[in-house]
Amino acid sequence: MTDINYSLTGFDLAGGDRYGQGGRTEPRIRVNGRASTALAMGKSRLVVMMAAFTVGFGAVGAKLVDATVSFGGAKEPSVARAATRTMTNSRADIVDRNGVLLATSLHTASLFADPKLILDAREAVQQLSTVLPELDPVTLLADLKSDKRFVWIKRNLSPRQQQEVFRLGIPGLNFQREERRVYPQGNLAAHVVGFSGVDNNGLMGIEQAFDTRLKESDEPLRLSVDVRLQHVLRKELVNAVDEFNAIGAAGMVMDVRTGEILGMVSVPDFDPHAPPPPTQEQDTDPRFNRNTLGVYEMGSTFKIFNTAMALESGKVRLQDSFDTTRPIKIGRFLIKDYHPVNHWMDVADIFKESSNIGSIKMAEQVGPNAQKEFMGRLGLLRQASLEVPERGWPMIPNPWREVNMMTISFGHGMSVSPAHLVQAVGGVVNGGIMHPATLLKRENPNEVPGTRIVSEQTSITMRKLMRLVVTEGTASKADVPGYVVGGKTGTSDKVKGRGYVTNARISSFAGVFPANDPRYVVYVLVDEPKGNKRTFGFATGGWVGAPTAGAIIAQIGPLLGVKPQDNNSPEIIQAMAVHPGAVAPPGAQVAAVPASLQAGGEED
Amino acid sequence: MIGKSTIVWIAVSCAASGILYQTSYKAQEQERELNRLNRAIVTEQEAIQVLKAEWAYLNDPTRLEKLSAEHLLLQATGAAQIARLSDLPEKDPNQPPPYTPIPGRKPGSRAPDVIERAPMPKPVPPAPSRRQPEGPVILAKYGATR
Repeated sequence: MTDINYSLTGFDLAGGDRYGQGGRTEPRIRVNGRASTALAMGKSRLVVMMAAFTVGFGAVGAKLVDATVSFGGAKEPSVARAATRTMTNSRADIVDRNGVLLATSLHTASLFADPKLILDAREAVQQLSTVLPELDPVTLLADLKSDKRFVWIKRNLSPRQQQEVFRLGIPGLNFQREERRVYPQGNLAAHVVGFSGVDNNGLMGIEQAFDTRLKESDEPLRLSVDVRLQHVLRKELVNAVDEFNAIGAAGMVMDVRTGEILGMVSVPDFDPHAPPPPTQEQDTDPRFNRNTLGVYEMGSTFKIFNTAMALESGKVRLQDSFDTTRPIKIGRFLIKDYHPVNHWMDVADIFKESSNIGSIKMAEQVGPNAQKEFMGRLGLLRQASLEVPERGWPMIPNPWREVNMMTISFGHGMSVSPAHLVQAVGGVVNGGIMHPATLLKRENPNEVPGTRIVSEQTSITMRKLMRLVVTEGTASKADVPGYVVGGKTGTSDKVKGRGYVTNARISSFAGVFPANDPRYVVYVLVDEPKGNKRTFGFATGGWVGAPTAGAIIAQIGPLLGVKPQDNNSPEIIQAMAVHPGAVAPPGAQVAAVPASLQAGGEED
Repeated sequence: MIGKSTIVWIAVSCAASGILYQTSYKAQEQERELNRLNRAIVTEQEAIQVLKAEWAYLNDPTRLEKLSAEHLLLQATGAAQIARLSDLPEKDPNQPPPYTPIPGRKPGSRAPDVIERAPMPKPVPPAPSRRQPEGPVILAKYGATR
């Protein structure tokens, strides 16, 4: 051992005396000795230390570069952010079939104040009331002088108001951005579109049914309704309600070839910006949608289905006559006709005169089971297929007895909603193919789901019968020059509580135009109309529903681009004659019509 | 001693870092500009949305009908006013133009000049002032109750 002090690492840190001891035989550091192990250990420690420092400084450097070059650690490209930033978390628009805005979301500013930061509350109130005159100065002053840190002054300012408040420059005022649902058409489509609450949840109509769709997608939702038709419907329905002092009305227009509902109005309606609270009494509730939620005993409009069923069964032919001279007694009720006649009537007369007795006789030929099956085929035994959540269940008898069959044959003892009826009537006149009614615009009009409910021949006969009702029967006031209207009136006493109420009735009209080539079904229902002087005290479907429907058709015909035809032209009269050739319409030159035209049931 | 290559490397790295930081600042500036533009786009989109809503509101059919009743003489189109091109009778190309009598001349008398048919109407003179209408006066009742 030497007496030289080695450092712990084995290095000769002082190192100087090596030169002074040149003649020493024993080297200071031997290859195989205790010092050499210490040296090796020191070396490895050094390497470890260096590695640690390299890693550390490297990390710092890398982070530094990262922080300076790609700031914020943005992983996604900024351009993608730009796209998503534009209209985030806004509810999608709802538009009508032509793209007219029915509901949209606007970003509005809501004004609030931090009273602690208001320097002069009195002056602030004075200035604010010049811009927002509707504010109450007294409560506002009390608010601004309070000890709170947050006071709403006014929610949902318009952009102009916001700009004016900005220009006042009052310290302590601030704006909170909020999203607000706006319905530019107001009441026009209130029942279809519905409304959404302050937290942007749909609470009614399409807004509720497509809540998630509207929240997730930015694409506007295109409905099948047409704002112009909505307007015409609403105007005429309001007129009818006013004229007949009714409590409400409902109207629909449907395209029979696609099942699209082009118009759906229920009166009374409401402003979707300030929906009224729901009330118990549905008759007067403005939120109550009579078209879809209301189920009514439809009365004689059901004879469309009864006649179609009888003809479709093959057990009744158009020429068959029935004894309608004697009333029928069902239980304690006596079924009479509104216009009694004392001779036998054939099917066309029964339909034209709307004979209850005749309808029962026809239904008796078919039987209750087949009737129930037929009603099921028309979709009258389940909920309507519409998209809105407010859909009423039909009220059907269970069990379906002989008695029920008799009353249902003329539209009593079974309640359906107007939406049910419109869809089924559309199917009956549309060559027997029924398309499910929809409130959304069909993307592809050529691929519409449909079911056959009656044969084409029955459908043609039904159109002729419906035209007959307008030309010679109860619905003469529904006729419109240029648009060959067919239809059926309906009047029924309302059921309230346990029994029928006299003088509270549903007057309705289910029409189709043009009857020779059906495109549209128009339905009008007036709830509890009262007769007036002009109608000689009558408030039946023929006096209330039919003229309203006629006025609607006269206005929507040009809007829908229906080709006007001459109602009195021989071709039309012949095409619409129930018994071609046998009936000579008064005043028409049928004799001059060639035989080929007489044979053809339908023109173009 | 510091070798030449070391000097070169140091210079290169200095230049590189200089360029890097310049690019970085430029990118930051562009980012700010992008953000500004994004904000502007959002503002514009919101303004468009407001204008769309206003457009739809002002085009409310109820309002339009009221305005048209107040300011126009137009009425709703009736079915009788609609005709299709195919409904018009076919015109025979060989048929001479319809005879249009010249006012103030007896039919059959020889036309004095080159005039064979009635002359084309002269260009319409500028509209007469409202105070003194010249032509037949149409009595229009605006603001018909509707």
